Amino acid sequence: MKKLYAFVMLGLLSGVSHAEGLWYVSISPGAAVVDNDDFKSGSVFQIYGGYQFTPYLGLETGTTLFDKFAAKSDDRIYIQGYGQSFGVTGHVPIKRIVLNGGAGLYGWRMEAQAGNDKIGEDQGVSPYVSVGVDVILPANMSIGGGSYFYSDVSGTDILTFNIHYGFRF
Amino acid sequence: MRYQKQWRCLVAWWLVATVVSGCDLSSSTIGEDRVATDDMDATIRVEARDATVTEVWAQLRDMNISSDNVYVTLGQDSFRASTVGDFSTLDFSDDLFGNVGDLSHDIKRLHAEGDIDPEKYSARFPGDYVGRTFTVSFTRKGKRTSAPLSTVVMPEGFTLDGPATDQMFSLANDDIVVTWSPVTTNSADAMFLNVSASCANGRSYEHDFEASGDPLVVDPGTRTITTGELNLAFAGIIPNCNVTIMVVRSRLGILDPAYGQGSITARQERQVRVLLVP
Repeated sequence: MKKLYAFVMLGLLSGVSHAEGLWYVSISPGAAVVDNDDFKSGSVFQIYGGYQFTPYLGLETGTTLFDKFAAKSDDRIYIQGYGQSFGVTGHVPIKRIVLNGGAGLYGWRMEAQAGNDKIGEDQGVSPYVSVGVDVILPANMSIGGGSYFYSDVSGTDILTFNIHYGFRF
Repeated sequence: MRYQKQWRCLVAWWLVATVVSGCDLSSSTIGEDRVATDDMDATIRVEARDATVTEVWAQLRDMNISSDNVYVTLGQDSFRASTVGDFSTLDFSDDLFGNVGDLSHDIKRLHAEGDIDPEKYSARFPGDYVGRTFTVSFTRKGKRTSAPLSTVVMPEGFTLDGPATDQMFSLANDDIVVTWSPVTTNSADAMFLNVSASCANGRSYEHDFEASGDPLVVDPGTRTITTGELNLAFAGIIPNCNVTIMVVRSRLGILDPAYGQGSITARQERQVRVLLVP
């Protein structure tokens, strides 16, 4: 564990000392599935931005909205929610392709609806991890895809599959 | 000339096939998109035959068609039955996916019963749900009016104490004494007996008997079907019959006013088979 910590810190510090920082923003629509057989998949929309201290490491924050995980037995019963994430990111640039990974915490608020009635509300903080790949396009644009895994959001794990449309500056 | 003859033959076959299919005496159906909700006659039943399973079923008829056996089939519209009760009283504050997932088990979509009864829509719930309110909602796509709130409460269950299964009765000499317990004192309930016979001569008979002759007594707990009543109800009955006696405790619910007419009832049903000989 100490070796891993030292490796990360070394990478971070070496990056800060050798490279200029990079800002980026991205919008990321996609689909989300929950680890609960009683619900259908839902949709997810993320908008996030970050700063890369080095080509390899950065910090990222984003807003994530989950829309309507409907109960399989009745579409009128569903759960939806939103939240804010903060995490560290790792990047591996290979020419115009960048492999991404991340981990952090996601503060969320979820709401359950049955028709017009609100039948529940919950909030909390959960860990998440992410992986993805982006292709750097001309004019500082990027496009790619990836996946987020949120652990234990109001009683279930959520896995997303996203498309990224980004801008780097 | 030869081809003309073949064409005539084909047309004749087509006509015969059309007439035969049109003369199906069992039942026929029409699509739901042709019928407004206030032209629908809804029959909705919640039935428990024991403490393990409760079945909800629904059928729709077009009130504009006089025939009793023309039913409305559902396309994009749907029936759902729920035992959840009033959603507005719920307020989960943690484990939303677990709690709402469990809740969703108490809501079921009614499905057509295959080729046997394609216009009858049903779903099964585990248990007898005594005292629980069933809500059956009919949701229509587009601008058609939905009927979201037909409700009924399941009455108390009971046990059929007699007669014994396959007990033998003589049509000439034996009255059939049917007993059940516990009795209900709920004036919202109605008790009756449905007796159906399948006889050796290949014929079937069915008749309903009131449980009590006294309108002030909701549930006497016993009913004697006399030989005279049997002979009268099943005129011309030939003994050597398998007779199914079903005791029914029925409670009327409130049908959504969007329907033209109909009813929603919850029933506890218990039945026994006996043998009827000369």
